[in-house]
Amino acid sequence: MPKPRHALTLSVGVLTVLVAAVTGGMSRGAFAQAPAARTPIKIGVLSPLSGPLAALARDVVDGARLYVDEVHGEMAGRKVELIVEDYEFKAAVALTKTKKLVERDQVHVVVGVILSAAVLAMKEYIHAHEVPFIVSGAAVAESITMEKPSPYVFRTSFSASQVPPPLGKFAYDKLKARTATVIAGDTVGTIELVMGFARAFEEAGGKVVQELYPPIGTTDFGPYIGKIRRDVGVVATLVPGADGIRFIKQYEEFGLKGKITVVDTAPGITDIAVLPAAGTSAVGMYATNAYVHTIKSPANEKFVRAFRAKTGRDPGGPGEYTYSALAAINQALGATGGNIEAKAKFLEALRRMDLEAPRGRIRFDRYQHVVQDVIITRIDKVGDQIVPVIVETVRGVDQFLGLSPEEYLKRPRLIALKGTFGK
Amino acid sequence: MEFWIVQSLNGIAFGMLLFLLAAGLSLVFGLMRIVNLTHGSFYLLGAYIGFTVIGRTGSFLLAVVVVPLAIAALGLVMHRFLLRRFQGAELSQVLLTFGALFIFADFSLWYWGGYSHVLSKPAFLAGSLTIGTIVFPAYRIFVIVTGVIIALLFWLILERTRLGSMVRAGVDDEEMVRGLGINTPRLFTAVFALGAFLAALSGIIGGPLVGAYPGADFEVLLLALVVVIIGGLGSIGGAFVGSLLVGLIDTFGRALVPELAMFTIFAPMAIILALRPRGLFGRIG
Amino acid sequence: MRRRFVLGIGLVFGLIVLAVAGRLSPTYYTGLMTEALILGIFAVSLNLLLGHTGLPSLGHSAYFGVAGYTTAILSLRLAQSSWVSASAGIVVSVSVAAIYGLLALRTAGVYFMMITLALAQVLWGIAFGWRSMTGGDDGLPGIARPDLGALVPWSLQSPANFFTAVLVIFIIVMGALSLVVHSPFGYALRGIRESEARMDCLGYHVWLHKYVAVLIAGGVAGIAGILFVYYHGFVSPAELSLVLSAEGLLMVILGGAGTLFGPVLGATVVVFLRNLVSGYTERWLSVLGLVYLLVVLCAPNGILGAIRGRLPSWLSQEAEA
Repeated sequence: MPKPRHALTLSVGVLTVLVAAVTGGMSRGAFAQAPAARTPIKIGVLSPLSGPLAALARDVVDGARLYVDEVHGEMAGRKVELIVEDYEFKAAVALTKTKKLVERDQVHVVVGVILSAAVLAMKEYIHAHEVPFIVSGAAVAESITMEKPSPYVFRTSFSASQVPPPLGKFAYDKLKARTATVIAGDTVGTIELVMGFARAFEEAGGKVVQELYPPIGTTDFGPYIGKIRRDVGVVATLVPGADGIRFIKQYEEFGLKGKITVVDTAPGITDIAVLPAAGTSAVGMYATNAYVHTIKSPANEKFVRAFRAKTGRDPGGPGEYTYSALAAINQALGATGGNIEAKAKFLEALRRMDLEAPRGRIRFDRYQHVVQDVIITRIDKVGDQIVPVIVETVRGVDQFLGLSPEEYLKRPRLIALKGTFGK
Repeated sequence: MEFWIVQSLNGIAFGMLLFLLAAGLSLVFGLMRIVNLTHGSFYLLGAYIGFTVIGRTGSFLLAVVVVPLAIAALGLVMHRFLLRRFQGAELSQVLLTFGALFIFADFSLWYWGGYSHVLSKPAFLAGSLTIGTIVFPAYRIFVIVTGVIIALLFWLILERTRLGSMVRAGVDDEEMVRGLGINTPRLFTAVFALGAFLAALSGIIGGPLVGAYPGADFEVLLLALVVVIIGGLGSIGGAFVGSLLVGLIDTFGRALVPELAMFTIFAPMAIILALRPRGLFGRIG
Repeated sequence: MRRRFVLGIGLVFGLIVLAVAGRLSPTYYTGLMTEALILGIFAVSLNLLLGHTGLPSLGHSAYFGVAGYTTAILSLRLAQSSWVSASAGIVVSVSVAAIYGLLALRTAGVYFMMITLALAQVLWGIAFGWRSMTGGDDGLPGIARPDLGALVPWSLQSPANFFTAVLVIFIIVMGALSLVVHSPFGYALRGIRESEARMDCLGYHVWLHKYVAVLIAGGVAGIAGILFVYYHGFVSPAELSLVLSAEGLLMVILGGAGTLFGPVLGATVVVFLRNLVSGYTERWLSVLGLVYLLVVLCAPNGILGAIRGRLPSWLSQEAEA
């Protein structure tokens, strides 16, 4: 039987650790108060490293680390320190970790975050504490940089209003589809993405005839695949992670592969973390994206080589978005002589970002969301690799699709469109 | 008509998949009353290791044989050195197996990098069967057949062999059985290892359908618990019927009233338990 | 008598230390302590069912989350004052407990565990799916903390003040629960835990006792849910999730089921470990798992149970049993 003596030792041990941590933190907090001109620039990296999207989450961290390596740990003559925090894919934990980064570690900037709920939960705190925050993971909600925009919140990844619409037009014009079924995991973000596709597809002249929403964690897609109308021109999806792999495998098993083209309205099944597992079942799909590692440009080829050397794998979107976020910070620091403490000037410089990122030229619109090229790819087998082959690049797409923000905001929000098609 | 045939087959296949996932748990938890929250971890480790083995050797058969044995050994060690002394202490079992679940989850995250994988099927099961206008995946037929075979084996072993009667008696009255000169701790360790074996086997056979990914441990554990509880603790037949029922309700629920897809597993379960507080075939006592 | 006196002094002293530490720590630690107290209230309410009555609920997040959502929806969508929203939150959580209790108490043991889980999952599904009202998985951000206004000239915006407010509520809840636990009703609950049949023979209305315990636990969990929502300023389906219910269960067992303060200790250990360790190692999940294993192996009755086992006998005498 266990001995009570051990229990006491253990309990005392745990308490000692807690007390030590608290007091240790106190003194550290006190020292950090002293402002020094050449203290390091601290960047907080928030990523859900232990959540279901851990593979994407690592890209966020590796993208940041790679950039810091490339500038030899220095921006505008000051050392750069990354502080990585894991938030388990939970909004409440993301907020708690943000407080830790801001209040204890006193970071100057926060980057990263996958999951719109986490960003929305953090937004008010970030705004109240005036901490520059660059969303550089997959958090696609329109509202992040549209409704109540905060001067502190930027986004270098993409939004649901930005990446899917060009594919809607492409499906009508190039794939000659006239009708479409949309299938999305039943979450706000994934629904917004397929709705972005659906609206653009109908505006191009097509008709969305069916909407299906399997809950996240669906094991058997049989009931849904059985319901897909066999006469539609295209099946537009956003089924993330393991669900996506199961969907596309089962789609093939039920004999639909090659009969009705499947398109990915953002990196879901075709995401680089998922694509190898989807394997040949995904060949023939079309997808739209803000970044793929197969972009042919010297800047991207250099980036992919470096990323591969560092991590042994190809970079996915969040890797590039976070790398670019750090590049944007570096550029703004360069413009302000490294004085990140002069917050207003730093933010002003950040807003004027104009970069040749690996994915191409990026800037911010006046809502601080990135303006970028949208890339449409076809999934092909090249040698024994399954890769996205670029078939079209749409230059300079912004989150309002060329409309003025006021005009765009008059239209219904994407999430409100759910259930309005196929009636 | 075609809709009903295909969806019924889907429902049965999903039900048999659930039975495979739950078989080990129905032994360990249903029969032996050990709250084993690492059941899903055994599934996940089985699926991930199976993925690695198939990737290296290309042999599905090898994975089916070797991986469950390895996980059974892991289960044996876990029961022998950790769980055995907490027989009957359910709260300790919860905390203990939850701790182990965290450690296994973290190990998988570290070793397999948090990637999602779906195991590749053996070539002869990769295609689909076409009957008239109906196309149905061959692998699902294989899952149905395997599920039925395992259910039959279970029934034979538990009802028709000495081992089976020892286990059943050992659960009902441990002291009595020990008095008869049977080494119950060793017997329980063996059954626990068998449960781990089955969980890992379901990881390989279910792997091509469910896959291996962070969080699969929790999801599989939950599905298995639902099936075992709906069937009624201690009843293998109950687990079998419960699996079929959940499979069919879930499949038709999703196909007919997709708005309620979020509720097709838990709402029926709450109703069944409210009407039959010991599950469908649970023993009284 | 001596025991009571020493324990009382210890308690008051401990609370003073806690209050001072909470107010003087850097804001981040004040925040963690606030979170530990809130989850402590949640765990204590679950303990009333698990530890005292022997009802292992695996759906306790239902009451926590439903109160949080009620408060959030009323204050965001109907612009009600925080008094109205918070009271409504408690009323709704008790009402849900009233309905769920009727269904769940038909079962016992692990069946109780699974039916509470299923019922909580139904609420989770509603929160996830009813987007126009709940915001779906994006949740509802932007919930303002109550304005105490004329009552107390304090702003709850400051972490230290909010901590103090939570601490006051915590003390009230613990005081009330301590009264419940030490009342004849509380003794009856533990009697039911040990043997329902015996209590039945003794003429106790077993079902009613359990039902009232479920109502109280639901209401107290609701209070924790409301505090959580005000603390974070948002609510999401995670607050109704199985994960939260399971964490509550772990906190209770870790600290010591059936003790008064054990669950609070469990909540504190979990909150601090996961937030502090994750800053040092990416493998914090393993560390947490190892701590659980070690506690089971070295302190099968939970941390508080083990501490009690080491105290001199006049002090350690079971307070509740």
